[in-house]
Amino acid sequence: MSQGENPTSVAAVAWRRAAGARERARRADEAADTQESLAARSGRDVHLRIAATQRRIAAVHLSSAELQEAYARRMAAWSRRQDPRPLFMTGVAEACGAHSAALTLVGRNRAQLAVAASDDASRAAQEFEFILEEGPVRDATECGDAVFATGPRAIERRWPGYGPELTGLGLTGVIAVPLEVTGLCIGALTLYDPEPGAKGYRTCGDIAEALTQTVLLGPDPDPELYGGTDHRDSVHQAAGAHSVRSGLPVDDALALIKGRAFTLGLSTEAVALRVLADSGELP
Amino acid sequence: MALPEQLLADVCVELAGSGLHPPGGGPGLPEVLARRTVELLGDCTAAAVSVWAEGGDGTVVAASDPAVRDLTKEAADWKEGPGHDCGANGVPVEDAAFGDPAVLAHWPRYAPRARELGHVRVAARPLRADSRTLGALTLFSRTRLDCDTLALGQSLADIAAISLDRERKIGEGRVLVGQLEHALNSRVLIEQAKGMLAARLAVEPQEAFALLRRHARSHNRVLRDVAREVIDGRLTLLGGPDT
Repeated sequence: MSQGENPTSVAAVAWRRAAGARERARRADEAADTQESLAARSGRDVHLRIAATQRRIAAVHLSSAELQEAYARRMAAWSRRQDPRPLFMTGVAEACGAHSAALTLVGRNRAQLAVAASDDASRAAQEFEFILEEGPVRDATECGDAVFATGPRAIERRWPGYGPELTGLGLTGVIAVPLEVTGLCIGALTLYDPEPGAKGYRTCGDIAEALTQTVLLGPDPDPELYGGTDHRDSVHQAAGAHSVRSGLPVDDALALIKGRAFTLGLSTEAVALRVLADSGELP
Repeated sequence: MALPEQLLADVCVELAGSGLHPPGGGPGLPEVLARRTVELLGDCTAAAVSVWAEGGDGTVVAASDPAVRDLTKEAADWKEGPGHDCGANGVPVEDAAFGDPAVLAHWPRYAPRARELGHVRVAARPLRADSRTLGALTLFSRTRLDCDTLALGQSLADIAAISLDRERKIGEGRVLVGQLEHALNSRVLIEQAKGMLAARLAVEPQEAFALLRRHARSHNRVLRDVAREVIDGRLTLLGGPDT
């Protein structure tokens, strides 16, 4: 789905995806109902166990449907205004009761391959994590468990490089939940400034699973998140260009671009554009 | 029917832990289900399990005795019998007597063979998960099986189906994760190669991309591999129409 597509047809796609997810949720709930009534009649626990699995599946599909519906509504409303194009991740942040949210996809070596953010703050936080190669996404994808840090002191203690940058953005709480499929970790959902007690961790877990199962890998996947996913194309182009200019391997060139971005207080994207404009030379 | 809960719990664990083709060549889920069904369902004289393979490459069959297994295998080829009906429609096959003329007419090859083997009545329950029918559990008996026995048969089928479904989803999930990762990695490699070519030839990235794509097409190669070789310095592309 490209950025240029007309809002009405984008909203229609989101409604169609939502309807599919609702139908899958309904079927799973129906199966759970059947198993629960069997449990009541026979007194056998096995039916309750099957029912619990089905309820969990239903909850995941329902979360997915709600995210698609929220996006469809936003998109439909946007077509009548001049605001910036709605981002799918804005609805994810809202559903999780957080100020901002970001989704990061990582490779086998845990390097960031793509990122989608709900706003400037989460985008900047992801950028610091990309530059410093330290932070909640890296920890969550490495340990396969959710990572929490609340309050500036805890954040800065946990991540000596990344922590102060995150708090410098005015963010004082972070949760990262790994996105896993059959034991393979494909990335993480990060929530910034989650409202205390607003939504349970269970909700965020359901949403992380919904993102993984239905948004990224399901029967009708959209890893581009309606055009909201950033692959850092120009940063990788600039790494290639600088590697030619410097004679260094492309990974080293990328590291130099990250380092330069950090020293200059710029985004890697901004540095990349300068590198590309200046025949591969670092600013 | 009095049923030891512990035995049922053990069977659940056993079914949940077995796959279609377990590594090491031990009994697979169909074998476990067929054997345990006969043990748990007192009035059931034999049981057969069919699991339809995905992509149409045959049906995996198991049964509590070899003669029933052979019959079930043949029935899959004939496309008839209770297991086939159950799978085709995704609904249970209710009690049928092999001596009933209507049943003989409905299963002209299956019913006489089952009778020859000494079986009297049959019912079948689908192996259902997530609205897909993955296979069927066929229950043979001398007398009509009561509701409770059939419900227990369905429960065992459900547990087996959930286990099979999970195994399939793990396989599918791994494939999808691999594809996603491959696509994302390819994009990084292609952008890096674009940047290298753009710098080397002093052209715009779009032009560098056109060069990469042209080379890949004219040499019948995957764009990602061409990009990889450019990055590793194994391939030098020059501007102009000949590359």
